[in-house]
Amino acid sequence: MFLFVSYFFCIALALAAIPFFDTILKSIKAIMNGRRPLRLLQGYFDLVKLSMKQTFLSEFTSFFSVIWPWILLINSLVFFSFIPIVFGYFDMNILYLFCVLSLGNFFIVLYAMDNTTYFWGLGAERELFVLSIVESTLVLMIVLFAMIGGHTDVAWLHMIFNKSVFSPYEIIFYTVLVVVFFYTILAENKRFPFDNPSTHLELTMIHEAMLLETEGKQLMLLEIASKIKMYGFISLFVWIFIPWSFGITNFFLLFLLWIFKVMFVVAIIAVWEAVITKIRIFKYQEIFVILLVSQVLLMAFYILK
Amino acid sequence: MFLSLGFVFLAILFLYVAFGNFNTQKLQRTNALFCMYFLTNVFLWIQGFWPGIEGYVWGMHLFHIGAIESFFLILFGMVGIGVSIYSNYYFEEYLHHWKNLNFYYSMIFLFVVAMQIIIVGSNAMVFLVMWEVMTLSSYFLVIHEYEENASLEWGNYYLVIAHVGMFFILLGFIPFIIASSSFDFANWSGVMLTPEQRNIAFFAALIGFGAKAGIWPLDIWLPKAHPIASSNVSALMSGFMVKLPIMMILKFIVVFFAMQVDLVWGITLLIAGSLSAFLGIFYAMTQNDIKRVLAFSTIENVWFILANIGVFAIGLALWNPLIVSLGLLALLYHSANHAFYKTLMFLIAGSIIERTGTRSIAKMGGLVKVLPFLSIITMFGVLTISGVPPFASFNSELAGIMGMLKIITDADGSVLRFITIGCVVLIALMSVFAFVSFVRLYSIVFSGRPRDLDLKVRVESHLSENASYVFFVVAIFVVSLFPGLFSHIASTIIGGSSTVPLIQLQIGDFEFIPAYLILVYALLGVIVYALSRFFLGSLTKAVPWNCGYPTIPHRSQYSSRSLVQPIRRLYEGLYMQASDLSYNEYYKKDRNTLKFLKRKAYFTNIGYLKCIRGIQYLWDKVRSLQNGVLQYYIGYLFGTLMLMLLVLYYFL
Repeated sequence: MFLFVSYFFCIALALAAIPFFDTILKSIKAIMNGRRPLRLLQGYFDLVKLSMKQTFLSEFTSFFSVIWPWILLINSLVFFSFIPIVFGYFDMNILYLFCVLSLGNFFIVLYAMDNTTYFWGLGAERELFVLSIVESTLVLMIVLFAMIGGHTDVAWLHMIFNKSVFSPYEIIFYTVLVVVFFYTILAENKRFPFDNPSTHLELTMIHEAMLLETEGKQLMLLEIASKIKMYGFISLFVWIFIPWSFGITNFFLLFLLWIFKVMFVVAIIAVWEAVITKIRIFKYQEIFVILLVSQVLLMAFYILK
Repeated sequence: MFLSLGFVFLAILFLYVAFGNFNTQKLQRTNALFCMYFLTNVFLWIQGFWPGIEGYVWGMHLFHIGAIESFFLILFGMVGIGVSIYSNYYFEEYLHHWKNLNFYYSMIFLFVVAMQIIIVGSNAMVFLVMWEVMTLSSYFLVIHEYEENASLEWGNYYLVIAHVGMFFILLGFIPFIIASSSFDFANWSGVMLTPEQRNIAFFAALIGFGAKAGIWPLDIWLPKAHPIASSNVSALMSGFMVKLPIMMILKFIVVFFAMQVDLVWGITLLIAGSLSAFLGIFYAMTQNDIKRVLAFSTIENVWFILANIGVFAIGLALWNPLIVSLGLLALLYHSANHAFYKTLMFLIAGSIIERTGTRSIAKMGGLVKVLPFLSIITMFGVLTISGVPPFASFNSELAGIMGMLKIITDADGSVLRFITIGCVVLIALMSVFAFVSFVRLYSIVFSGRPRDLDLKVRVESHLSENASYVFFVVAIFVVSLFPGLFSHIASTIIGGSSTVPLIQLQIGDFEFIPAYLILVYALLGVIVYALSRFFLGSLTKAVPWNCGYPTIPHRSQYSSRSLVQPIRRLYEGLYMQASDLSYNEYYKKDRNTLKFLKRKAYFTNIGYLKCIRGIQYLWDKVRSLQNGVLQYYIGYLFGTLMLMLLVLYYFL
């Protein structure tokens, strides 16, 4: 029972920290672009501001559009609640964890299609396209975890790389898997080489196109949902690929360590987004084909070893 | 005893449906009788799992009820009951414009009886005769709108391919008949065959049953037959009939070969299964006909189940209990899921077609505003069919993928492992395409605005229609919440055959947690509903931004084709469909595309049409033997006798 309570305490703390991380990300990007950084609590202010606004909906929408943002939020919360922050509690298959999100994808496409304007449809179309590309890479990554770690349960995955000395082939595995997971985070959360949320141009948007005219409380819900999803992915990245605890056993110190690790990943993402440009939509598959082939090569290497 | 009760009941039922004009009252009574007939089977549902009383019925080797039979009888009964309830609604339309409901119901009757006997039958002759009865009766059900030319043409595809399959099934039985010199399935179990005989038996059975299940080059009848059949018949065919090949291949492996399988068979099933499943759902993604989407999805699901039989067989060949149990669990679980959700979806499709008068989803849209109950029910069906976690279909897919993963990590032999890696990629793509195609279907049909302004929707609801939907949704929830049921069934099937007591089921490696997840969703849903009443009070509707134009035309929405345009463009080479490539004038000038168009024409005209015409021509020639003159027939008899004597003389 104590474990259960402390696990969810952890989750709640992590959820509270998410707007802060987002502010950090935006600030680093701003500095890289030569702009002024944001205030430290700007993320929280934005949410409060959105929650005080009035909500308008398209006159063609049905009751779908009223409910779906809430369901999306619930879905993201459920996803986040299964992710180990400091320690793992649930014996959950990692494929199960990824597929929990497909409910959210389902509803956001419905939400976009309910509005009936072409812009939202465009976002839905591209969302489905990106999903169809990412999936097989993700499954192969899980196969690789099973091959080298012997586990597919989330709670056990941090054992794979939790060692101080890596053998040469482990270094190769680690590098490729990190790249694959990193690009999966970017694609699943519509980050930079795949989507440019800061411009409102039909050539560049995916996620933003689907909620172009959402405003007020609904926009707040959708923003929170997508942020929770993204930081869920980043926490998973930290859990699997940066598992080292440096001998710390104190619960709160471990949580602080988690915050620093997440900020490290956030900084990498921000720098990466600042230096690269968005690519054409029909070039997405090239990245993922490269990742897929490199994974298959790794498997061949492992099997024939 | 219970089987005889069912048969007596059937005799009454037949007399009732075959004679007397149909009116609303008689229709309701008929459907009630069908329901009661399926309910007489309830005892048989348990009998196979009951160690003392399972076995042969009536003391002869004609009917056998074991765990496999009982499991498929449960699916049969559930699908049958739901469809019977629904038929009250669906056939009311037929009462007015189509008189011969007696014939139609007689055919349904024959279809149902044939399927029942195929499940419980334990004799090759009984089986083959009933397989033929099933094919013919379902053919007559498929072509019920025979006034339309396309109906007969497309029905013929079904008839021809079913008979090609029949030939291969017979070929698959022959080695057993020779080796055991008996038609009883009981004597076939574990009979000694040479390796060639074993291979002939297995691969012929695979092709024969695969034709009925939609194996890749022979799958063309499925998307052609379903749109023209009436929806409850489609539901019966797609929900249950395609499970019979699965049952028979499972019986071949578990009973006839007594679990002594070759590794090659498992690999073949795995490759054929994942390839056909992938191609099936791949073509579903771009269809505009609501029933064709579902028919292609049937190909996908059936072949996913068969891929899991492949995993099961590989596990048996490698003698790895974990792979065996995961494969068996996945195939049983997915069979049950598919039976429920596909039947539900076909019934819903029938209802939508009946209400709107069109099968094309390109004209639909915004049905949620007029049919809220149907849209929520459909949401459960679609979420299940596209494999979204709290629902059962995801669990079975996860079990299947985990089985393949165990092959990759545990098996010896690099070739097997490489093949399995390829199959895992295909299965992953299959699941995501299933998701895409059903998100597309649901969002086009239900959300947004109608894409055709002339679309008229009848909104009056019917009690029996809604009852059948609720029946299947409850069934889906039951299988989602209690996945443990299927591990019990799987262990009974494995334990029932005494030849391999060594294999113990091990399903502790990964956890199903749907019950927990569904509870979380439900609890949060209630909280959110309470919150939203309080919080979202000030929701205002307004005209969306439209670049300054006064109105938004209904045609400006994303359509069923444009929603999957990037995916279609990415996999252009695989589609090879003329209609898909001619969407742009630019492509018509492109030389490569012209090649594509030609190849497609070649594929359909030579590959299918010529073959099917050829077989029909052959049949016409064979028919000249049947000239109705008695002395000719006696001559045939005499000739056959002489020939057989010569053959015997030569061989013995």
